[in-house]
Amino acid sequence: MPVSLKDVAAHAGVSIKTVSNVVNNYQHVTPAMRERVQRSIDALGYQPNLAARHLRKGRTGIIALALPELGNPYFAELAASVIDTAAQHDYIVLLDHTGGLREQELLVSQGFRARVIDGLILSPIELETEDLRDRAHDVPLVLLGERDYDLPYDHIAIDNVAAARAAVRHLIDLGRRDVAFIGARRGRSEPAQLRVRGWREELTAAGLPADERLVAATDGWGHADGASAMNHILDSGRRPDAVFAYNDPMAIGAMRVLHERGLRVPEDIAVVGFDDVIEGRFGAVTLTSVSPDKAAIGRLAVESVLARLHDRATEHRRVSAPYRLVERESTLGRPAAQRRTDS
Amino acid sequence: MGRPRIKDVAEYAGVSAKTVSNVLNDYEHVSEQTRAAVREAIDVLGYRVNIAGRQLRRGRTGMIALAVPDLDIAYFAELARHVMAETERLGSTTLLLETGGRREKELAAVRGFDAQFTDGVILSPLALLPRDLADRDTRLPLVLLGECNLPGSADHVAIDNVAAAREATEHLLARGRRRIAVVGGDLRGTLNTSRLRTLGYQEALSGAGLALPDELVLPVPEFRRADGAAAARGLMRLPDRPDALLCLNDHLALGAVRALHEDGWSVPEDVDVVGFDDIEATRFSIPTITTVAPDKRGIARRAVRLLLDRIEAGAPGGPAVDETAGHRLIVRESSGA
Repeated sequence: MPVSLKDVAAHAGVSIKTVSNVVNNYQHVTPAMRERVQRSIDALGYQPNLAARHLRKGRTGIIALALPELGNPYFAELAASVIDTAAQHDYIVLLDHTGGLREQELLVSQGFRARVIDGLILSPIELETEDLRDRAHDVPLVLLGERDYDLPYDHIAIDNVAAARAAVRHLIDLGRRDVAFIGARRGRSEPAQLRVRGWREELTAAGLPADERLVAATDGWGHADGASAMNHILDSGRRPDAVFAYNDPMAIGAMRVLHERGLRVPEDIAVVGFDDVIEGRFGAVTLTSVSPDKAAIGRLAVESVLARLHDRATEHRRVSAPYRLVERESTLGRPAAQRRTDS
Repeated sequence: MGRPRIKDVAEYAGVSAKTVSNVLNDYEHVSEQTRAAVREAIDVLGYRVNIAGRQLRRGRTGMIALAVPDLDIAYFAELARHVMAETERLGSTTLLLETGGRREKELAAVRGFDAQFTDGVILSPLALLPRDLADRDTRLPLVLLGECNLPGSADHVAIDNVAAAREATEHLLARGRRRIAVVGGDLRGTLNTSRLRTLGYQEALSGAGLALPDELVLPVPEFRRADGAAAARGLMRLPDRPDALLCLNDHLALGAVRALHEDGWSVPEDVDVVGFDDIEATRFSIPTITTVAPDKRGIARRAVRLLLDRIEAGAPGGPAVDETAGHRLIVRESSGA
């Protein structure tokens, strides 16, 4: 059976109340007493029952993070900072997978887990403004990501248009003229996606054509989607001199196709991705990418949820999170490969 | 019409309610034709399994928890997707949590997170000690993934790690490789998966009349790309360098390949590289990575089935069940395909 407060108290030779005071960090415990209790806690391997503690305050001690894609390393890396920050506040994080599908996002935002969670961090892809306007439950909600809703919720995101423009500007500065974009969403009539918009705006500002035939729409944003989009563009007879991908897995999929077709990166086609996931730092050609400050985004998201939980009337805020462009081999090129003769 | 019920689905498909239930629970003895008819009826009518209804009937939450070390390790993200798909198919939901591979969090998982919201837990442990399992409250259904160091303590599902590593090593031996390093290998450490895979590697070497080269069995601090890169670099600087790297997961292999590339080595010409897990990245890297693919979907199905059976049974139930899921070696560019 798990170790209880009672066991720790018996082991330390103190009252249960004293152990409780130490565990809950009350001030009026002498250092000597604290140390004595802590020794027993360590010796017995006692784990405080956080759930009980939260329940006393009418809370569950759980927040949910709803992710569009479990397989996308950006979200895994973001989840790490959400989990860390939450843990600092004694919260555990449930990860929900929405698949970026409206049905699932609705389920989550409408309080599917309302009994279980104190707050929800959601990165919506397909939800519309009306979907979020009337929520059945008032579980504190914080939004992340690219969609821009004019609604009274905290929203934490990088400026996707500016970030995309920075990526395209880097390519233009390197002398590229025919920049393709892979990863536009297929089949949705909505205001232009922010990253595509950035691509378009920067080319236009530089007096270059924003060739819509160089924009490839996809159903998903994984390696295979990047590969098929790259194939699609090349098969149509077009030869861009640069590719800006919606995210890193797509950029990597595209680079694989370029390799298979004997095209050199960046000499023939420069490639830029988005999200700066670890995979892009270890390929045969390392990947230039827009790097959102995932640690900051995760931390801000949790802090916003908890702030609202503490005080529902807190002013809603839109936070523009930091990002930077990390320039690597896929645009800058690499040092001449060393040859090694086997002895 | 109101929300469609099993009865409505049955009527539309022209079958009995029991048959619909059997299809929902994926019982074997339903013909493909019947299955298709029921599936169509479900789609057309927009039927959704009533989780609340099931809860009331059985006094359960209909939720299971899946606790994995880290979604950053692509294998766990892929596995989690399969588990979630499986529970959705069976009318339950999965609550996903990360443990960071830390003992205190894995302990919390074993205890069902002290909360009343899960009916059972599937845990993939890295740090749990034998006594943690021996002491647990067996009223909470628990299924472990991966090798366990206390057999008989809980149900578990794993691949045959010894055989998997042995086959990967035999593949390298068949390619004429003789100095095969194991990145992440460890015969004496606490990571059971590493230990078993190193044993499989050793068996393959013995089979070829080769001794185990101690300096080529290299434990790593973590199973990430940077660790693979550092390990590869170190190994290739040995006076008698390896001609193949058996990496105990794909992240290590991908990191190793980058380091080899940076240092001017050609893969596979100078050195073969093999990984484990068949994560998506291995199909798109340059070169693509040979890997041992565990049957992830099979692992997920078995684990969910075992857990739901335990939950169904109510009491702690019978002795712990051990299930082995399949695996296969997928040969790609990094070892000559």
